[in-house]
Amino acid sequence: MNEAESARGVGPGGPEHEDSAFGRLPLLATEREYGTLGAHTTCFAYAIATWCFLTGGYAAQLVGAVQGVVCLVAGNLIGVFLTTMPLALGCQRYGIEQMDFCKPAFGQRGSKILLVFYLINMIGWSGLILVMFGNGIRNIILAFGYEPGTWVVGAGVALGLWLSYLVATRGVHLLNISNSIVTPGLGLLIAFMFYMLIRDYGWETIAAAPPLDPSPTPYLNYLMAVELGIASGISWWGGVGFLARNTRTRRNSIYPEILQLGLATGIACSVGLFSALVVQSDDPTEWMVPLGGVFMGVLALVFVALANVTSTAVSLFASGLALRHVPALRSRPWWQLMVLLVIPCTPFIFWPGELYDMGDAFLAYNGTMYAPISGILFTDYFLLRGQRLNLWSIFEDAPGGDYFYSRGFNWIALGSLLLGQATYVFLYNPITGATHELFRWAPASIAAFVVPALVYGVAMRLLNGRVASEASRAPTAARGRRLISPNI
Amino acid sequence: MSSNFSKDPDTGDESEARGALVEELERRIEELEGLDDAAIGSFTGWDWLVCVIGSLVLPAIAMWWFAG
Repeated sequence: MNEAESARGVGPGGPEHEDSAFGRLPLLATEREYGTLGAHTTCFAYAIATWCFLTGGYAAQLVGAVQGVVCLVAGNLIGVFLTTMPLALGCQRYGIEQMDFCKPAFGQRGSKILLVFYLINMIGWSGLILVMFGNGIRNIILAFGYEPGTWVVGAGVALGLWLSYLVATRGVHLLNISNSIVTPGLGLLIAFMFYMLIRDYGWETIAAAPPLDPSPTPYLNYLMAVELGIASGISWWGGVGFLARNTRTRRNSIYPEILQLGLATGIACSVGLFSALVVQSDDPTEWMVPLGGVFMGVLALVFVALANVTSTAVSLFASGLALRHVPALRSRPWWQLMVLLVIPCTPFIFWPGELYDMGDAFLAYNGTMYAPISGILFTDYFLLRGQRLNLWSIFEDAPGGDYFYSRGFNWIALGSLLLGQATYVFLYNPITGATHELFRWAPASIAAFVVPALVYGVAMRLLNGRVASEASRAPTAARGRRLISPNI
Repeated sequence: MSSNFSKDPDTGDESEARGALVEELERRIEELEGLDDAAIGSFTGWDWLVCVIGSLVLPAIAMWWFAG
């Protein structure tokens, strides 16, 4: 497949269906791909990825097996619920992708600010997964009895980045092929790990294993693990819209996301947690050989390395699609977008260990980013607009559009977003680990969801009368209407 | 067609492709705006109740219970 073909579907010029499926054209009801089985399978494929091991490993630093399972499963479910409800129902109703769904709340240009958060999230995850790839190569060499220097990890990150670039520039087809191999394989690997854990160690040993690096205050460890679980669920924000717009019914846009992204991810993270506790290491690539022996362990490591490349390629691909929202990048060749995305990942080549150790803070940082956005979208879609959007205005860049606000920015939403982030950091600073007394009663993610949601709702009612009338309005009857300045 | 096309520095072919894309977008918007909500399936109060209990209330109770 050549470059033009690989870029098709990520910009104008391709066949209609590819443009609508992978570009920004709203998907018609007849074009949606996922019925019940398809939605569950696709969500499962998203859910079961190598980042589950990372999350489980980070939770193992703080809590033991029983509390860890509760934090990861319950936290993921809560996080996915909060982020999914408005996004999935809205994107499914109108067939739009999520950056477009954010325009009614944040404004035409304001929604592009969210793009920055989205890209930070994708690049951060890609970097962490690539370090896992580098660690995997180092541990394969170790398993064969050689003692490589730590530079091998950085070199592995560079190799993984290059391979991911190659896959991402060759388009959706190659990604689909790799996913069709990797997803069932990872599912089997997780089942195999769980079997080996129970067979060789037993539940009593797993449950009794101490956390790896807890703080001296037990309740704080638990609360931070709760935060990790909720933030892990909320960080699905980046993938929810794409899945939901492709589903045929409303129920299919919600239940598979909650069951697979929430429950299945929580279970997969828990297997990672058990492995980390038993092996007493938060590095997933150090679990395989002790759990499966040299042969099976090395085989598993090679497979995890392959899965890491696929996960990173998917992240690069999704980020490239998001960059198409920037007018200056709309007509750029696909490979140039990929290069733009690879560059911010290069620090992981030079400081893999240092950045990997900050992974738990990064996970919590996702909470600071996405919890307020989810709260604002929840209020906006359900309470202010009564689940009714003006699709014409979403694709209209002219100042007369309903969602243009002030110079393209809805300052009420952006101010509420900042307030939500400040609320999060006030309760729990993920970089320093400092917590406020109130953190004991209100998880930071929940507070950062509720506070901006309330402030945004009240401020919009008081300061923006337009939105109140919009909620009760009938669908736009505008046959023959034209867009003045279409933003596609 | 929209007024900003005349300012578009694209070549003739690109401009034509963009014009077709915008027309297609407008056709889709019209169809989706007029779509009956029932055509995309229902999500009733019972569904909300199941989701709220299953993914908010029960997990919150479990977290509180195991907080020790």
